[in-house]
Amino acid sequence: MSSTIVLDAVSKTYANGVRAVDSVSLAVEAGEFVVLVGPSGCGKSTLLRMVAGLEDLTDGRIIIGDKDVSDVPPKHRDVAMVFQSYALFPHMTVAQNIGFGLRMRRFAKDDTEKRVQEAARILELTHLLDRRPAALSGGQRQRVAMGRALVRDARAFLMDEPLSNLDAQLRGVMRMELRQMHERVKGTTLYVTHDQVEALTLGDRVAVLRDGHLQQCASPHEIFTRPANVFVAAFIGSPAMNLMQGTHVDGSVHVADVTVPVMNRRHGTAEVVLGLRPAAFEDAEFAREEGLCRMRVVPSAVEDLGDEKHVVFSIDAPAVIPSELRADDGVARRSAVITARVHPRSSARTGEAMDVTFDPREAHLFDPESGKAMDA
Amino acid sequence: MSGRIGRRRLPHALLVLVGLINLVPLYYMIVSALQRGGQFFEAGRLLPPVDPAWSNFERLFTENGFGRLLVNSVIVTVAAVVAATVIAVLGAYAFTRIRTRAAGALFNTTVALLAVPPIVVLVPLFLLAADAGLINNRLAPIVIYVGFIMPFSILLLKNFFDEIPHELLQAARVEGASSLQELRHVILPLSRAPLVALAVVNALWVWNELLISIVFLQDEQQRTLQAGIAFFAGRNVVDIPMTMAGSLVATLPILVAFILGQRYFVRGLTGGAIKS
Repeated sequence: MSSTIVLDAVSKTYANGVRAVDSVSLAVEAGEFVVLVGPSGCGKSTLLRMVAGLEDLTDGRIIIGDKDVSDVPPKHRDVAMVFQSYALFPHMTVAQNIGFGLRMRRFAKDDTEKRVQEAARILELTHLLDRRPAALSGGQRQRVAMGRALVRDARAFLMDEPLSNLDAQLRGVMRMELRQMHERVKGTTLYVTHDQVEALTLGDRVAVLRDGHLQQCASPHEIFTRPANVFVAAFIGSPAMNLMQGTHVDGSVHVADVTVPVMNRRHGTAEVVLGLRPAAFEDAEFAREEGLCRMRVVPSAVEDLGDEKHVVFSIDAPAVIPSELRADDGVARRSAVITARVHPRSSARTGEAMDVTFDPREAHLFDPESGKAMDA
Repeated sequence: MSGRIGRRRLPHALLVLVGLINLVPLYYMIVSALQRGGQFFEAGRLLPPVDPAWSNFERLFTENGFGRLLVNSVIVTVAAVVAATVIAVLGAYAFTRIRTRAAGALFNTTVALLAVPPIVVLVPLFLLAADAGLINNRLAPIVIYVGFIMPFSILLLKNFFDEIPHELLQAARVEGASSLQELRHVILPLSRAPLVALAVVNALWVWNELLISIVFLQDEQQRTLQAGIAFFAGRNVVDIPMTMAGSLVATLPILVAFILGQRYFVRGLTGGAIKS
């Protein structure tokens, strides 16, 4: 029974004047899994709650299936929601929690019973049906919350950071289970997270939000390889994409003392933002390909992760970091700090000069004014 | 170590002393209730009587219509407490859900009514009741009691409802619950402690109320316990042992209610931490 969800220029302005969501348009296909991702305060949860009917729209329309639900109260929208806190009813057993929506909708008793049993079987909760939430572990509570959503065959599933209260290991397991569940149920899902790993691994498509604006909505692969702007480029990927200011002169970009040939055959001189993912780099000793750019650097830190090494060094070019993603006090650093991912057997050492290469074909170019990607 | 115990000993001694002082009237009531009519004015009336007059309790029912008074009190108390609880639950829920300026003003006004002493509105209420033909009708004090206990009831319940996590209520709504279903299936089951505490406090007040009862129920057949006991003195000269026996029996039901509700009592009145 999964339906499409269409957000048509949806906006939300709070009474205090804060515009949490600004004219977001997005179409989620039936059975599709779309992840809303962005830093805290970007409006992603507000947007989800608007789809659930828990927040009013200031502007725009929300259409679920073929019905405009913009002014429909939550109970008539027939969507299921998983909350960050799980929001399990503490005075009810697991079975009662899972069957709550069915009871409210006056399903027949034996039908309710059958569906609860089925959901419990899928989620491996059968032996816990008589327990109260207080007697469950975090992962079990999370499953009960999922069960409450699954049991109803709702038109859409809305999930608000459902994994963020779990410890890292369990989160990984539940992430996989969630994806398998989706493959089986094929319910239209709108999923909110601030964790880009969750976004990339779970979503059929990923919608990146910033300050209430939709930045880009595309497949995880496209979001990663063709970010629409500097913000998406910096937000998606870990370690983050290295962004620095350079000068574009007739088909090459000059950064520090390196000249990077680029596809963009624009003429004349212009400031650009050059983006390079850590994986575009390599220790020169291990680089085999043709046409690589090379530079001499002095690592300020080397992190050995076992199967790869991260080499951190500064170059003589201004850094570009979107304000929300800056870890420091917000003052733009004069020289960009680059993180390069190199071969695990690289002999890079802190403080010892070395040569690194990078592949100019993997360079991203952005307009420094608008932040938008420049066509390659 | 000894210093710490020493520091604690004084407050404990004080508390015990205050506790004993509080028990003196109760002791006096019990002792007096067991005196024979004449004995009361003799010396040594503060000691337990040598041959306790258990018959005093029998006489309550045979000579003074105590059974009728008891029934009247039970009717008035149960009706007032049930009605007040139902209305207060609905009112508090409305104040929890509706967050407009007007609702806020209405809530503040409701709470401000806590400060109005019953005696101030006694005459207007009496005139109203007289116009409505409700003098000597138990409905009059019931309605008035509901009105007087409403501000505190709404305040207590709203504060508790407000502490129920929002996400629980939102989850209920997304799952398809109407407002009344949300109230019935989520809020009320989580509010057992304050509901019991509230019922006990309200019952205590209604049961012990004298002024309104005496004014509005002048017919002997309609009188409540407290009013009836007050008239013991007037009618049979001054039979203090009888009055004390009546008061003692009148205390028992409310004592039982308090003991049964005690488990919820402190929890209910001190606000609504819910185990998450």
